[in-house]
Amino acid sequence: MRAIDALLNPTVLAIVALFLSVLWMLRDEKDKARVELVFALALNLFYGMFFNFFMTGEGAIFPWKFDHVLVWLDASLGIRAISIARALQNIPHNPLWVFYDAMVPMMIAWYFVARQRPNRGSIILAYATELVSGPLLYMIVPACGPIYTFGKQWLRPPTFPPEVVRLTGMPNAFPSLHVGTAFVFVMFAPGKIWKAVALLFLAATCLATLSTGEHYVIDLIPGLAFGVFVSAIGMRNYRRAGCFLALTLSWSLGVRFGYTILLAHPMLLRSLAGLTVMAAAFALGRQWSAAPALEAGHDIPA
Amino acid sequence: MKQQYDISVPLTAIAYALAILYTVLFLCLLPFNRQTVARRDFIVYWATGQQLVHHGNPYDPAGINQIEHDAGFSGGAGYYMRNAPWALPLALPLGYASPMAAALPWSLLMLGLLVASVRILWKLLGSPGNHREWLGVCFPPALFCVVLGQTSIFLLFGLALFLRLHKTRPFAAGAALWLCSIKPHLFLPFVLVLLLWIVLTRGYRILAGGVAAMAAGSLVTAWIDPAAWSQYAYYMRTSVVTREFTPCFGDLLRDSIHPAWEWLAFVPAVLGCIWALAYFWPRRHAWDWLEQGSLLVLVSLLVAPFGWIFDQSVAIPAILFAVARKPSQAALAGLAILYLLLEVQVVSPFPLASAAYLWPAPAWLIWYLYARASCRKAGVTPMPASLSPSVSSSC
Repeated sequence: MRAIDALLNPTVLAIVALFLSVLWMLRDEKDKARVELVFALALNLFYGMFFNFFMTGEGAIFPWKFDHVLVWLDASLGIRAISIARALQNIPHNPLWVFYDAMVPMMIAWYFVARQRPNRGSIILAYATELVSGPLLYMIVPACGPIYTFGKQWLRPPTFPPEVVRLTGMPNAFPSLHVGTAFVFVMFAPGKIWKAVALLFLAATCLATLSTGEHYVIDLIPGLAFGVFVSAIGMRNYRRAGCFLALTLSWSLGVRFGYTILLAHPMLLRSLAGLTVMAAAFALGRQWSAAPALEAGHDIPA
Repeated sequence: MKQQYDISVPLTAIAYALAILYTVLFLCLLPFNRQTVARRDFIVYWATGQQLVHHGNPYDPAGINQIEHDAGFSGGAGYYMRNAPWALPLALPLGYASPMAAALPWSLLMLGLLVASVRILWKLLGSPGNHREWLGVCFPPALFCVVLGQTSIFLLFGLALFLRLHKTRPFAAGAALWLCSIKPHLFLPFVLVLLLWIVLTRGYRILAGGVAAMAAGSLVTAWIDPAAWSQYAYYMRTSVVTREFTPCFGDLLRDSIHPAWEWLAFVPAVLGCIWALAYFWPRRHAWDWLEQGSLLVLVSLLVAPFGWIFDQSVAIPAILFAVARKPSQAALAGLAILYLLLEVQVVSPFPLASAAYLWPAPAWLIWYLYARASCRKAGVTPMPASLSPSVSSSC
């Protein structure tokens, strides 16, 4: 085996990352922030392992997936993930996959960014909430994503009816946790520059999830609501968290049990999508406008 | 004034309840179920005891396997004692009883040693009086060790005695470390620092105690099985035990790069030893085995080249040290959650040799540092006068 292959092995990289972070943590035993960060890293590493195990098991026990329904919902929405992905395939050396794969390093980096300001809540708590509740939501609407459903044909899939199909694969598409996490970064961004960076990262993540064939457009919309929910938990704003959890759950249950209604009434679907985006934008606006008060040590407005 | 609700109280109560329920149910079931007796690690020690009593080879996989199958064991080959010959006297008494008769006393012995170890450590920490020593008694890897009939509790007992006696009775403290030598691979950075500390403090009585206990153990071994050393050497040359996967990072690294390169499993241990030296040297004049030694044990567990979940019983001194320092409610709640996760995992379909058991070793270390950092911030109540200055000054 070549040395470079060994060093690029994901497991070896994970072990090296864990050991280097533990070493860094041990250099200053009094720094609680270091411990929290290493905890977040370890949680991420082990989470991936347990997530794969449970989701693969869940996929095997309940092999019925909603991918065909989600494709039709995209069409009903008027924005098809496959059309966007096809357009993005023309970009030479498409760099968007970097944004998709950069989520864990970005989560670590954003921890440092978010802790620059006082009274900003706990981004670690937001991450933990996301990692625990995300898979539960995946189970409500099990779907794999276009590339796993259609394989090599994912950019030009065959025609099919909007029905639940039997597929082997991990259900991890609806809602998009990538978009949810990117929205957490926006919510926790401290200054103007970081806010701009976070918004750019959110936009790039949305495009990356579509261009890599991991998600449908319809996954991204409840992903935004989910991002507000976990951010609100991190900021201990439980009223807002409850509202956006209800919104996310409504999307999941609506798609699961009422997709025929949504497909039959495209305007209803578009209105709900628009309202969800507006609600997320409103929550973001409230959060950003409350930032000066937060930094001064006042309570968060609900 | 409104009192803040402490979430750590119900969480620890659930963790205690589950741990006690598992253990009591198991111990009640043990004397009545042959399959339960034969399926546990205990059967290995019992079969080894049988071989010793009948002057057989305790390191003969075929012979051991036959005895285990006769006793009701239904697994494959390769289920035999891997400890060095000086551990053989521990298995000898089991050879004089049937597996059904020996199983419960063996588990009760482990439970007794666990309780004794926790009491020794808690007293050493000043018996804070908040009944949190139960976090030591209900430590899931230790109870798992009791349930399986494993020997890691001996290591814990040896470590607890060492911590208790190293200042007042160094020879006895050194002798107690003989128990830790049953599984020396779990203590590599710890042993390195211990040797260096002995040289620097001229604490040669500890070394003498350790050597004397090893010599006594080896003499007893030579008496019960004169060929034990050559049998062990042959077994180590021919067995593939060093290529077996156990849930530790050394083995994961080896299997990820090249499973045949056995030395790769020792890379984390070598790095751990280098860290241990760098950690010890600036602190060598005020070295405290209870405080700094706890961290050293946790790092030793993390970098061990071979180890199972129940081997983490030796983390109890570190856990109790942090608990006695009045950590924050969040830290205690976190510890209870770790206990609960592990209690759920041990009844899940993950086999013991699964990589799913990799997380507890870093988890104890991260929790320990978090608890200590949080207790510093929250402020600490004065420690009892019975504690040594080096202990009470910390955290």
